Amino acid sequence: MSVIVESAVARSVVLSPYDEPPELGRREGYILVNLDVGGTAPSIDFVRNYKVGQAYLEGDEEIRLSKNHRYSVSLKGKSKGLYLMAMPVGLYQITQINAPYFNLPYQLDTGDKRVWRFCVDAQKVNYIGRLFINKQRKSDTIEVYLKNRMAADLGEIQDLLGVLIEQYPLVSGAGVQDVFYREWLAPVEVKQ
Amino acid sequence: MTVVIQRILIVLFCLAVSVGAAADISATDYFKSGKTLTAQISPDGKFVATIAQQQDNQELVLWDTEAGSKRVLIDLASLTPRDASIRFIRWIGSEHIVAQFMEVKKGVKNLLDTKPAYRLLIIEISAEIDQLPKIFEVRTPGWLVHALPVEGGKFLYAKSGIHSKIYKIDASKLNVFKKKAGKLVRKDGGQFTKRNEVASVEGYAIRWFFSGSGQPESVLYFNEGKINLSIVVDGAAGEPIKSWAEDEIEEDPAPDAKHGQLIPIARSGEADTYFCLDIDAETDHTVYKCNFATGEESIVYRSDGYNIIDIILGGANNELVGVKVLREGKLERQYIDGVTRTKELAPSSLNATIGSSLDGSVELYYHETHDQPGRYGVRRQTRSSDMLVGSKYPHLDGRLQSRQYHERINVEGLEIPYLLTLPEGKGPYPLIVMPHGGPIGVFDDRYFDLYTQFFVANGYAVLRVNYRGSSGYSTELEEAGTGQWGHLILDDIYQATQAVSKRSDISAAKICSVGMSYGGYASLMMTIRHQDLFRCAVSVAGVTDVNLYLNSPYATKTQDAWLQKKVGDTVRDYEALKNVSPVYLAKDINRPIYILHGEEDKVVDVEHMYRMNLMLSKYNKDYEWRSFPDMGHGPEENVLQVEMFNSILSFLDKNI
Repeated sequence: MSVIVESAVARSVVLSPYDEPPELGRREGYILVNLDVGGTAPSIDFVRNYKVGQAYLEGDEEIRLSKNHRYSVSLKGKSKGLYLMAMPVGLYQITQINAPYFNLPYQLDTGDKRVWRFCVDAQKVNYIGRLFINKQRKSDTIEVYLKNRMAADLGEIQDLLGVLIEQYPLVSGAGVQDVFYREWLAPVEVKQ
Repeated sequence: MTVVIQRILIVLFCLAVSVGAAADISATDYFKSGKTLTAQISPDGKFVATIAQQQDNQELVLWDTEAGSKRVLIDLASLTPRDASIRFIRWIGSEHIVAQFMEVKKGVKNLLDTKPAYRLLIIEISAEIDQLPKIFEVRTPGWLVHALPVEGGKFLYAKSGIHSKIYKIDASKLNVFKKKAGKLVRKDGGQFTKRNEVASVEGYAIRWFFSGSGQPESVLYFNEGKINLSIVVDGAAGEPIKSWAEDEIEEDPAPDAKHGQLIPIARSGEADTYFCLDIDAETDHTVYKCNFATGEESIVYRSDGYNIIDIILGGANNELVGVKVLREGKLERQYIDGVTRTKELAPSSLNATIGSSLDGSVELYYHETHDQPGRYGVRRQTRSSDMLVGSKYPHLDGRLQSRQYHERINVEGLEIPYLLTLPEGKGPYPLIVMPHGGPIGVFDDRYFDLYTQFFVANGYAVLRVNYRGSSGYSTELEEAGTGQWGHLILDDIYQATQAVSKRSDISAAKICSVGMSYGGYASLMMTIRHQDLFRCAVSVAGVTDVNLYLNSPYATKTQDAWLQKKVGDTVRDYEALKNVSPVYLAKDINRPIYILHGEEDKVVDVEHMYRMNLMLSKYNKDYEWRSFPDMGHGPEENVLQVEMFNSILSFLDKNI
């Protein structure tokens, strides 16, 4: 699958601790990420899909990234745990992971991988997964994953964001189709 | 009165003995470390060197095949405080052993710049038993390419660079291991000079190939963006007889290609013929024989599912006697049966001669059966009995007895082979169905299987089905697994179980399924679809949401494409894959379930277990679950095996 991205300067955005949620605009939703990142100054770059209103791509559809919606978020000094960020609705592609270690640069291009996508639904808490950047690394490689841990993290999310997710319902923010949480929430049919 | 008491005591003693003999083996007693990893015979046949793995340490052990005695030559813990291991051993003459020693050097804080430091050690065997061996080392980076068994104490050593060369090195002139050399002592005895050069090539040599006597015959090397294979004449590499361009190597094989680029890794005994591995295979399960002059190729060996990283040659004619595989992160040797089995019901016995003295009078062999773990033995022409020099699981030697049947069943026009292992006796025995992982390109072989024998030793019969998709039998069987993840593969397992359940020595009312990875998935699906037959299921590291598995964060691009072709496409086939996912079928489960998973699993993420857990809880099902914080895709350490299998046995005892 090819990725079309047009150049533009990335906008810096900030992750807030889960207990300090930022203001949410009308056409915005929260992204909720569980961070477990190491290194001296890790950051990620991501871009919104040109077409708004899609949670994931269908069939052979290609992702087309919007030049006006390029973002960069610093993960420097972020301790392990849940973070929130208000973002406009849409499907996003994480295009690059930066994980330098002093004078050892490291960049991983993720622009053509579907598992590095997330989606934002308006007025919802969109869980996008556990972002893992290994604290220990080799000089030329590093372990970096975005893991869909909806079920594994659910207990912690309910404990720590109980009030927030009452106001803004929790949904899966995976950028690929994943109905698990919705099906788990669905009421149990009782046989008459 | 005394006589009566004596008789009672004798009866009680006999009872105790018979109960003891029939008693089950606990997991603590069964899963233990202390095994022999490999063995090598000296050219004169007088000694065998073995590497013995203890709990956290390795020992190089020397067996005197004439006297029948042994002594520890090197205890690695005494050489270094670091994690260390011996990767391989070779004899150079009959008085020196070469050992590839590796120790892990940790990097600076947070920078795990993995530095496995390799050193080639040369151990001089002393005739005096009490005397410590002299250890020399090669400090120049490179690797051993030939042990020159007929030239005592000398070997060939390769250095690769823009110009790659082979040198003949005399062990006695090398520096003593870890001894600080003075200014007047030359590194490696100053032997890396033109005078000792044996062969050279312009380019970076990857492998050198030799005649039996140690003459360089050909070389595989990088040069100007190509990998070349050239014949070596009088020490110099000639024009390439085969080249692989960089783009050819990087390109994925055509969809209809049987395999990718075959790259030679060793010379076979036949003229112009090499043993080769597929450079494009995501996992190397197959060893090929290739003749680059004629273009002929054939498959000579397929492993049961583990990645082959090297091959083991033996005999005067460079025969393939085994392979080195990477099994759950550890290097393991698998030997190849020297006898072709023709009957399905033939005993599952593996016999391989893995070395011999130069005069052929002493042989080192490896022997394994389905209920006897692999053992290394020495056979001398002049002696009637053999000498045992090592075992893969010494604490299990002679303790396991079982029957094994090899049968087939026709499912939808395809012959599906299966293995049934039973305790000795009439039964009827409760049955554990143990589907293997994969599911494509993996199979259960007929030799010793640690987990099967554990259950059999505890009074269970075990059924292992080589369902469609399994390798090791025929291309037809393997290819029939494509697209059958949640379909005919499961039918194969079910129908084989049904057939076996009709036997008089099987208790049809006591059948459970226990599996790992895909086997865990299949186990859950058996209780979902066939609860009439299966009373419970245990899933270790099992896939529970097929779409989630196919969207794995750990899959490489090549694995991703392979899974899409063999299993399905999460975009196109989302609903179909969801419909065969246990997570979304949990409400249909009416049998006890036990799910276990390692938190560090990078094959099937632990999220699979948490999803199943939430769904089973939602529907208020009878289930148990357990996560293992430091475990990956399976229990590698003995302590984990003990914990896991104790809990599985206890679950089965309750629910079968």
